[in-house]
Amino acid sequence: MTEDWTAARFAALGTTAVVAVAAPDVLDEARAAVEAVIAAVDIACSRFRDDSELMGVNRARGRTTPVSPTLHEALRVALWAAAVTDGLVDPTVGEAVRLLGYDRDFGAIARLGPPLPTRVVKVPGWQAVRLDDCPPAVTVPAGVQLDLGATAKAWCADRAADAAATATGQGVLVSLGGDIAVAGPAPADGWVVQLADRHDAPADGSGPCVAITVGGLATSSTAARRWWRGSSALHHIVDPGTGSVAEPCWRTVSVAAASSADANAAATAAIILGPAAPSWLAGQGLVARLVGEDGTIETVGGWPADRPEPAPAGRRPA
Amino acid sequence: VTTPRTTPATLAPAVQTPVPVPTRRHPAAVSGGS
Repeated sequence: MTEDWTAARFAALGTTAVVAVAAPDVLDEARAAVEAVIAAVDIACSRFRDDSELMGVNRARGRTTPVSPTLHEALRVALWAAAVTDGLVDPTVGEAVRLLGYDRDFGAIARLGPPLPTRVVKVPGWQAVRLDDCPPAVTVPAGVQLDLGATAKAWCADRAADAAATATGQGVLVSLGGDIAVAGPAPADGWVVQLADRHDAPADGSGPCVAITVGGLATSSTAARRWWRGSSALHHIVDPGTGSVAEPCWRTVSVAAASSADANAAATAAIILGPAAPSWLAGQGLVARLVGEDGTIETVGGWPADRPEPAPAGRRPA
Repeated sequence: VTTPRTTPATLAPAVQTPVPVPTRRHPAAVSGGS
């Protein structure tokens, strides 16, 4: 079937970016607009570039640091996410994440390693961060390391989709590592998004698919960015309450919301929240699909049921 | 000075609920963990 969109895929922010447009002739223009936003966010927010603004903030040892409008907005979003999730998604987990072994671009992390020494890490808490508006500046207590990994990518997808839609006047979908934002007029039947544990799964329609026309859709999963230290399986979603990886409960949570930033904050919080996540998501008025560690699926807020799996060839349904 | 600026502290729900699509439509992207 001929689709009413065309797309480009490229590496960005340590993951994969997808730019899809509803009008094929504007793909190059849309991609250029997206890449410009990504470049600005990367130099502002990367934890893996010595020359990033964020690394300068983390080296400031308690001094107030002037920040660019881009980093200021990224910090504002990170602190908003912390507030709205009651601290479940907290940018001050940087040191805890580093001690778990996630101290460089994920592609450079050894997947296997010796057991980690037992350490109790107190996550300082987002309230310790002071963000000034005029002039834009941030003050982080000495010893606190900020990590915007839980919010910056989805927020970047929102900005990039808006920028590309404005530049082209056409409908655009942007995915950054599976955090998806759409802007402008959608294709006639919406943007089709496949759901999976990992964003690098083949986009072949083999998994459940939904269509969205506005806002964002984001998925958090403990099945991605995993590594092992001794017999402990680690992943990138850290519970600020313990300073360690979130306890197993939900393997993958997808949320649709008004923006990718909203959706991603909720999905990550749900992973950390565990058994209470469905009621929390419902209380927020969100729609979500949660996959348990055993593969069982729970939906919230009217998220559609997965279509039935096709019967194996040669067999009829009972 | 604002310390910190986080209002409004709410998550904005989707304007439209995602709708299921038939298998023959090819997805534009995959939403999964990264």
